Amino acid sequence: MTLTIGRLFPALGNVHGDLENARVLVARARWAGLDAHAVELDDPADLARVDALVIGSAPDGVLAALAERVRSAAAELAARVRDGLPVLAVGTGMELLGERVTIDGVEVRGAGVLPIETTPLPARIATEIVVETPAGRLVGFENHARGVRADAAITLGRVLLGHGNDGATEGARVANLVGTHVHGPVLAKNPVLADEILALLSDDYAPDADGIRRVDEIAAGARRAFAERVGVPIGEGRG
Amino acid sequence: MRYAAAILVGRAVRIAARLRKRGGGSAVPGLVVNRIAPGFLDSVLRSFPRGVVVVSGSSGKSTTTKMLAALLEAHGMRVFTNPSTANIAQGLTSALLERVGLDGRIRADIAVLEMDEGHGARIAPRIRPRVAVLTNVMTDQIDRFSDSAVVARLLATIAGTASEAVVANADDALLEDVVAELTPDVRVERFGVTQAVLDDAPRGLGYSATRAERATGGVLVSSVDGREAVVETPVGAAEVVLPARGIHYAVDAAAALAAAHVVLGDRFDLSSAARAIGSLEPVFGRGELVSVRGRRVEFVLVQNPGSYQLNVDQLPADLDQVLVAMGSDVRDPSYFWPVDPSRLRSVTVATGSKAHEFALHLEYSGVRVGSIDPDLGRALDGFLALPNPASGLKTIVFTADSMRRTRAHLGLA
Repeated sequence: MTLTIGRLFPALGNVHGDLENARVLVARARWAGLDAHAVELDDPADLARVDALVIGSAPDGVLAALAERVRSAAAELAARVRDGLPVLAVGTGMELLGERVTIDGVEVRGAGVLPIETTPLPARIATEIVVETPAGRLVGFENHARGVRADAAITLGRVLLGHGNDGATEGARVANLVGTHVHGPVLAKNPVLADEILALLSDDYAPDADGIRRVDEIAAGARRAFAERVGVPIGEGRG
Repeated sequence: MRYAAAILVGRAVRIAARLRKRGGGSAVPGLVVNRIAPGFLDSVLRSFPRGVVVVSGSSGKSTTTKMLAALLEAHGMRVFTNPSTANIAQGLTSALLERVGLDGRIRADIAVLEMDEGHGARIAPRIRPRVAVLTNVMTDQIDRFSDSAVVARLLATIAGTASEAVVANADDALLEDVVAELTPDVRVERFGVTQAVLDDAPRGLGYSATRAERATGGVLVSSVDGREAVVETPVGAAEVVLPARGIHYAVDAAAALAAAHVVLGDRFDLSSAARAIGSLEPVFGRGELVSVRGRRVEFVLVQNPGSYQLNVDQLPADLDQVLVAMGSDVRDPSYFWPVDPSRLRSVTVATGSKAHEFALHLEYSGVRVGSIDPDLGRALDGFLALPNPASGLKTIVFTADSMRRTRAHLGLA
């Protein structure tokens, strides 16, 4: 069986490299001896083809158009998420899967897959972030102009550094859909999250292959350097 | 003589800064003078009889600035220009101090100034440049400019201050939007590439948004072959030799030729222009060949994802000794992840304070990283001590901060 990882709406922007989390999943699966490849999806009808999905953050200029496209896929997305499709939704990708987003003073409906609401912050947040989660400390960078209201029960964890949803909690999770502000190579720097997704995709996935050990050692080094710089201890990211 | 005292103070500070740290302190005199004589910068910049040309954009501004200065000099003009390390207000003031007389004037006809997008948007309204040259908008410094639209707004501010003409990249969709907003009394000159040249660029031109159609007029690159390019201008085709291989250098040449044509008008001479571009030294830190400790080394500067991709794609395919260095100038390396560096195949050592971040991206892209050592000096020493590579040159790929530290460590100017 070949694992197919979808990169949704690649034409609408990938400035922080959020979609490269698909590359991370494919590489880890291959190192573990599994067949895997990434595909780009522009048509929500193609959602049926994928085993996991990455949705990235897009610049504000295209958000209104993007909201419309995400809404057009809402029913299909909701059904797949209910059935357990692993989804990583980053930044505006997460916002648009929620109930409502305020863009330039105008409230726009999202896909309604995540029970969250997004409203403007007084100023853009662009900083390092550390989140305490049950699976270890989630680290990376956030860059967003809106905050998220989410019930504490569905958030990923508590913010130790940075802003996250509201200065206290970060992200949102429903079934196997994980939404976060942590952008860029979040799965490479937090391999425990990548392994959670891959374990859902295949019973044969074991993160003990040489290639995986090699990158996770590098990730541990990156996490150590990050922790030293921000002054918050964060552990190796292996849960 | 209004600024004589401030100029003398600035010079004294410069001498003091240099005594303290060899080659250092370039921004400090500017900082001091801008504090004690806030009008100095504007006053000097307004004193050039043929005005000021500002060059800004995400990438290519250093090369374009150097080319334009050389083009104008080749036509007999006396040109003041700032070194690329001095493209923000303090550095610019320091650069002016190097050349200004005690009467507060510089003996030059025209200034060609490279300006950082953010600082340029603040300085340009004060100096009212005659011509603004806009190179492109690329994804760059995301933590400073949240997205490309922000950079485009800054460039629109700079463009809006030009009194005579705006020279803009016609292939850049965001710059076309900027140009569309200009008042009709400002002339617009365009440069770009032909469809044939674009078709030869497998990853495109690296702009945040590339226009679907190519320009039909203006100054257009019609062919690029290594360091040789042909640029079509309104007065004929120029065959130029570029300071390094690659389409982006050819586009920089087109930008400079278009700007020179605007400034010089009928005095623009095609053969002097082609000679001037061919006479340029390779640009600081990009595709630059140096000899150090008995080794020949190629330096490749990575300024943003666009230049990373373009520069990696133009490296020889068979390199077997590569050092990569990423420093604290890259606060968040996320935006490098869309780059495909797989042409490198393997890297000898990753170094700099962001060594692990750089290595993580390389490994996930199929590039094996031999070792990681964040200590730049130690990594450089070890890398240079290795026997000469079996194929290609020792190659050092670095970000701007690591470039400065590398040059300092190796005692290069």
